[in-house]
Amino acid sequence: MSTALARPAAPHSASLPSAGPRPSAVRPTRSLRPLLDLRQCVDTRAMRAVLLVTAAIMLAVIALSSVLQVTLLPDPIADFSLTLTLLSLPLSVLLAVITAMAVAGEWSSGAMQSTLLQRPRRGGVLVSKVLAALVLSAAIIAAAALLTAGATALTAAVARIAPSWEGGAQTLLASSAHLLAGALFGIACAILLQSTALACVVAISVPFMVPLIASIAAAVGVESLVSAVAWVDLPQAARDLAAGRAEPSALGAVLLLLVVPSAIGAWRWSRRELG
Amino acid sequence: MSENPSVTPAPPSAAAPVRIEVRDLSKRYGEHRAVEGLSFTCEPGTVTGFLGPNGAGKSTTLRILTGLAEPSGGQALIDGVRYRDLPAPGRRIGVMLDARALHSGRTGLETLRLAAIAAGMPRGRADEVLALVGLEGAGRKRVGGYSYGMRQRLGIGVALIGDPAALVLDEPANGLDPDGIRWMRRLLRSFADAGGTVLLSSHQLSEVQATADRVLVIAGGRLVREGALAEVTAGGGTRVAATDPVRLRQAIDAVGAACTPHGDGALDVALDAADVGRLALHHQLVLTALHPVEDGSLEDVFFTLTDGARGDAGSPVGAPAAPSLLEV
Repeated sequence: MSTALARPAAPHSASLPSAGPRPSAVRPTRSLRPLLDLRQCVDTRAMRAVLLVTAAIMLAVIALSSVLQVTLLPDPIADFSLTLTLLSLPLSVLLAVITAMAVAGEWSSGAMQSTLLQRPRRGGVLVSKVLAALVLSAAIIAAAALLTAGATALTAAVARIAPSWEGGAQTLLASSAHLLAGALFGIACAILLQSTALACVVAISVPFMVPLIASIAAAVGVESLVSAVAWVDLPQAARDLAAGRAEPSALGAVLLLLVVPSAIGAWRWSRRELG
Repeated sequence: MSENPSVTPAPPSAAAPVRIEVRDLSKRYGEHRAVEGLSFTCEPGTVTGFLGPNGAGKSTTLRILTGLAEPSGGQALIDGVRYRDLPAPGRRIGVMLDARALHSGRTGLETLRLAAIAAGMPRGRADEVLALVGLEGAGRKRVGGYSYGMRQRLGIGVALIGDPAALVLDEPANGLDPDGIRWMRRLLRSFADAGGTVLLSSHQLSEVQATADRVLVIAGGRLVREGALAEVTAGGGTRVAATDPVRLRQAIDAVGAACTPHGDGALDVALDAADVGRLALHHQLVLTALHPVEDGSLEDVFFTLTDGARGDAGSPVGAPAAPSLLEV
């Protein structure tokens, strides 16, 4: 084979394998592609592992709750509200992790450079990733509710007792609000910090620390601290808003923990230099 | 993975050719001037080599050109518009700046599929490009398990996915084996010969010399030389030696010309021979050697131009390598 660097003639397109007709007109590239971003966040090994763990934990908690309700209680029950409330605790943590990964994952991996080269309008990319994270969260919350309902019915059938749906609608609303608040906080942390690890740490620790501080403050009788903490207690704010109570502290928590971090983060997102 | 991809590189899109233009570009980070007053044009049908030492401002320029950073002044335009304002950037210009900017948790094929979807290309385009870059055997493997050379190939594949009319590549040959380097050379040459525009930043001067039509040499954030490759390598300055090398060096430094020690006391100077002769006459220096540097080595030209200008961001050396007249 000649090693001379003779300049090859311009190749014919027929030398390439045919891949179907090319789009005859070039359409503008849309930055708002939530389905594409949903696929992008789900098709990574890390996200698939987290989703698998989430599914496993959901099934384990539901199964454990169902078994304990039948075996440990003096009068066996199959209570939808009880199982869903128990499930909400670990799920709120997992949803914060999932949404943080969905929004900030490409910043942490360095792949955001490729995304912004293909879709350079950063505002559209940000909104698209937030929508993808919300779709994923809604799917998980819906799955949790359906699995809980299914397990309740199955447990009742196996134990030959009547399933309890009492307060189910209110519990579903309150739990969904709580979980959605956690997901939104994960999104806000991801937008602001643009790092999966940092966003996860903040999104998990703050919702646990704040109620703990509030409890301690209430126990020692420092009412001013209790009042102040209410302005950053997002889980409580979610419960209040779900119950139709638009308390100033609830609105304040939404503003301070969701709106302000997201606004600052969006500004950073639009100006951050890459590479 | 195919080590010697045999698929002929793709010609650029049949769409209108792309012109890349940088006008008086500057970028400052606090007091540090990463790029200052940079202007150049890349025409369709050419491969332009973008050269400079580390920290010269090459990557900063490319990041501004591709919308990943904002300039402090000036403009970087693709067909007269900023990258971020292009309606379909992936279909006009393919970019590879960093092979690490590929998610390590995705497979190679999925990376190309997502890029194809984003660019509005047909479903089969990803498989086509995977074969083009010689990764058809590694498409189902995660990028995290790729070698650096494989990541480079995949990055080039992402750049080609939209069938663009221009390519902007930063160190594309890094990590490639000799077969891969030859493949890269053929790819870029074919692309330009079919009317595409290529802007190629590289430290591999031999590869640039083998591939490029034009070169831009940048140092200290400023353009120190631009021109056709043949013109730049022919105008490599003058090699001079004198009986008093110290006074010779002092005389050259006094006029601010870039120079590089060649060995045996000789100096390669960014002046033409006539001006070196006048300088020696003025300082009453006895010359023992005086001839143009015409060995055609881009490496010699590169070091001659960048060694003198590397630390001197305050006064640009200017575009011509050998000014025709000096006031001595």
